[in-house]
Amino acid sequence: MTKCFECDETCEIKKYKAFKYTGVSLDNIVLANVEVEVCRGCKTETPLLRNLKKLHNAIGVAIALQNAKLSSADLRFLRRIAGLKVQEWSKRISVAGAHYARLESGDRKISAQVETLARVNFLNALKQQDPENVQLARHLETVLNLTPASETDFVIVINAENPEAPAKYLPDDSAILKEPSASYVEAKTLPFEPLANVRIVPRHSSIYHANVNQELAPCA
Amino acid sequence: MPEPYDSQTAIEKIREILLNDGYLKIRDHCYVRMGERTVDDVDIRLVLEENGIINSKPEWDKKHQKFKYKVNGYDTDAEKISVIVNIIEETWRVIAVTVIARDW
Repeated sequence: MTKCFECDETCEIKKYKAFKYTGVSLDNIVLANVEVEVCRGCKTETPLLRNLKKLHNAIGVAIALQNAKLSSADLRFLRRIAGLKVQEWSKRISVAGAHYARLESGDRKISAQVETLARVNFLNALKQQDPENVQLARHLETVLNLTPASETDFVIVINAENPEAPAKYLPDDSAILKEPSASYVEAKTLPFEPLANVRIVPRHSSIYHANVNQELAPCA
Repeated sequence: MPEPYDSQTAIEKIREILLNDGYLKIRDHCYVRMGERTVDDVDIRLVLEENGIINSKPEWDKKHQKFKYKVNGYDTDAEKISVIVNIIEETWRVIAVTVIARDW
């Protein structure tokens, strides 16, 4: 048992089937099968994250492969995970640095060409880090054939236990992340068993997460 | 009071934990500070796993009975940040206590 840093009460570790991950400046990422430390006193819930690089790369891949337009936050995330600064990245996607900065801040609309180049350059950057990864080459083909249709109106579900497993894209009617939603519970595309008794609890003003009432398994 | 790690051992220990299936726990307080400084988990990971160094003596946290180590590094936009962490070897965890911007 560990003690809560905030109130000094004891904490227990629970495994959640779905947890809204707000740690990466994106608002549509949900982690599946994640361990969360829950304080018995103040009820603070803190995810315990492992293999963060794999997790962040997986989120980047899921964004690069999404069949929807990239938001400015998506664009920024891909650049940062690729490990490049604005000047270097903007050269790779053939726009001036100042113009690119406006794309990231949301002041300019992201063109289809910039989107494709961002996705391709991101996957290329990962490929450079891991040249043996055949999957990335396949992803590159997928990206070149994408015809992104809608804006981001879905959540990306990453399996925290196995971040390299394909991400799932679940429809998001935004209420999903703020209050109980039957559609989320009944989602057929989940890579794991359907969620039961999902309760989505506001944490504080800007952070929401999905909580599952039942504890799955004791964790070390 | 236990003996603290020296700077080199402490950063090696942090990486040993994080790169070998250990947990990173980011405190709520740290998330609040991160929000104020536009720092996120990507920056924290970069500093702790890749570019951070420790060049100050650890401070003893009386309340939590743990040493706090200050890891100085660069975020993804090459801005200087410091991440204050506890190293909990028994549970194979690194706890990010808070983040300070442009402090070194």
